[in-house]
Amino acid sequence: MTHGTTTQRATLRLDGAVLRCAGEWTALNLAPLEARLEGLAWPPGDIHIELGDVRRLDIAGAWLLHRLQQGLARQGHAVSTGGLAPQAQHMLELVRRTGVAAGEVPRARRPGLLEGVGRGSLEQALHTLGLLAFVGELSAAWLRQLLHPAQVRWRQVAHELGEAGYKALGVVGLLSFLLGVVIAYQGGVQLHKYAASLYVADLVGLSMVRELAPMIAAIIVAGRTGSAYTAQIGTMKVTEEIDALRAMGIAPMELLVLPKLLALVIALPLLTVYADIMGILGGMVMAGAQLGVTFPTFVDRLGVALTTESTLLGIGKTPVFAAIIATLGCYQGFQVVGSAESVGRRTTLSVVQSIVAVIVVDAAFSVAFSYLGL
Amino acid sequence: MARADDRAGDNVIEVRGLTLSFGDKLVHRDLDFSVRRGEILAIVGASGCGKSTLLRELTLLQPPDSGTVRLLGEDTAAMSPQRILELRRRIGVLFQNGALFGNMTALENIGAPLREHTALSHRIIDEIACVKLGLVGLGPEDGLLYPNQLSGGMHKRVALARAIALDPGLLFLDEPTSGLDPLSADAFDTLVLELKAALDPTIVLVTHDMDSLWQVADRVILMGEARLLAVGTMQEMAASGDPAVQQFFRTARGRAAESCR
Ligand SMILES: Nc1ncnc2c1ncn2[C@@H]1O[C@H](COP(=O)(O)OP(=O)(O)OP(=O)(O)O)[C@@H](O)[C@H]1O
Ligand SMILES: [Mg+2]
Repeated sequence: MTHGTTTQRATLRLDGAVLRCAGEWTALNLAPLEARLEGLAWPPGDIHIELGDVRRLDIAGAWLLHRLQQGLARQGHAVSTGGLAPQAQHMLELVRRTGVAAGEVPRARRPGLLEGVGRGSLEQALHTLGLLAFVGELSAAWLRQLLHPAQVRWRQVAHELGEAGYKALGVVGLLSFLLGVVIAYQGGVQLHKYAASLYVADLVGLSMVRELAPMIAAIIVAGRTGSAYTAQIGTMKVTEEIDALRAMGIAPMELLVLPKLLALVIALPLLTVYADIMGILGGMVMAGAQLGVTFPTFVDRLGVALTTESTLLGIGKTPVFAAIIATLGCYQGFQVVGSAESVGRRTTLSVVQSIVAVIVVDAAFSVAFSYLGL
Repeated sequence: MARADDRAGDNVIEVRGLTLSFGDKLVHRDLDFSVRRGEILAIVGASGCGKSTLLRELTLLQPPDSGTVRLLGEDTAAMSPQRILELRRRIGVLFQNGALFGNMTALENIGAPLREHTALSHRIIDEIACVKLGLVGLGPEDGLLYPNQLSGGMHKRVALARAIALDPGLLFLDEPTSGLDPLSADAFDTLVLELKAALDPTIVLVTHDMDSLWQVADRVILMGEARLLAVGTMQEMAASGDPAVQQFFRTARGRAAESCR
């Protein structure tokens, strides 16, 4: 049989009213035959298909033959076959018995433009409602646990803290240090022109502490941790682990979502403080190297420029960011249906939506603070 | 042991000294057996004795710790990646849990190997997929369902249809009838026998289904205690005096299936 490495090609030739088929009519050999059959000019009247030289006929080959017979018969030819080996005859019979007819492949119905727009809008509306319902459910669970702190799964929280906080120290530290360097350099060049190099401490300190450190920490956490939440919960949904939890009487909200939310609300402010320090350090190193502002001078100036109020305002925003990231990440995880592809799509959505939401909310904070004169 | 009558040229699979352990856990040691061309070989054994793992080794998905697997006369350890790809086109695998692609419909799943490995038009590929769906006892309309919309038994049947998509000469089936109703399981046995009559593939089959064993298996390998406990036909197994073999086959279910013959 075809276990050997050399396979024989499949061929066909129209000889007057006789179609001569030969070789191995198997799935891997059929593609050229399909093209040949399309282009054949059939003579009117009876057609004989001679199959004596067909060495091997598999299901795909038998189907091609069967649909050829069907097609010819439909065009009014009388078709006869000959020379088929008993094994191949058997195969053909097997295929014929499934009752599949050429051109009768079921197709999924595609919605028209209007229907598509309608369905899309409805889906968006339901999505918004779903998110609201999720936030509501989450708040209820959150309040319940606030009343009974002993029920909080602290081990889980500690684990998530390690994953979201401790393990992010490296990347948050590096990026905020570099950000500090860049700000000091770009700002320093301008300040130097006005002989105001010393104010680089104000520039780096205030921009880091009020805006950049909270932002960079939130964006890194959204990309690192929010995505992981979606992927984890989404995969658990695909493998029915979420249903298993429910069936055991364990609320997924309390086991999976609350510890993540709590951990992130604790971790993000701490990461922000760390980013503040690393960013200012980066600015200080750059100011020393580029502008000749010594470390003691920089630190003295920083003491004047940086108020407790600014620092707290910066850090104060971050629990809100954390709540947004954790909520969106978990929500998108629960929206996964069916396939691994859906996990990927939802993970992308969760990261994009979190980052957009964080920046929008940050802008809202800025407007509010300026209105309040802070 | 059935080694004496193995002639190298006639063996599709030859396993020599196959040993594998996961960490401290020994799965099997020094397995020696062959699968002859055109035969249906059943692997049986208690749950967790390493049947699925053995299939993974035979399909080159899990490298063994030591020992050789020769497929179609070639040592698989010495094969180039290119050659392994070529070989895989002629091998069909049904995984124990189906392993259907979640983002494709049943029809697309079955057509996937054809779409990847042949230049056939999508229309023909879909039609062939419909035929295979019919062969495993499902209607064309089931072809539009996604794997998460299929019942357990339908899942298994679609996976079987995908495994035979390229009409492979060598077929590995991991528990094809578990999760099927008795009628569908019978239909599966008939399908295997019909495929065998028409195409004469070599089939390695893991099963707990005593009826399947009596109906379709030419030879049976009983695994246990990290080795092969027995190799032979079902008649030989049923008549064996070995206590381990008796324990496995002389259960009430085994006897019921035998007496139905
Ligand atoms: N990736 C792995 N890592 C560690 N141990 C494994 C791994 N895969 C399988 N095992 C172990 O190897 C043994 C054999 O597993 P295998 O899945 O082959 O069993 P099986 O005979 O197919 O059982 P069943 O009939 O229940 O399907 C089991 O004890 C299992 O715990
Ligand atoms: Mg198994």
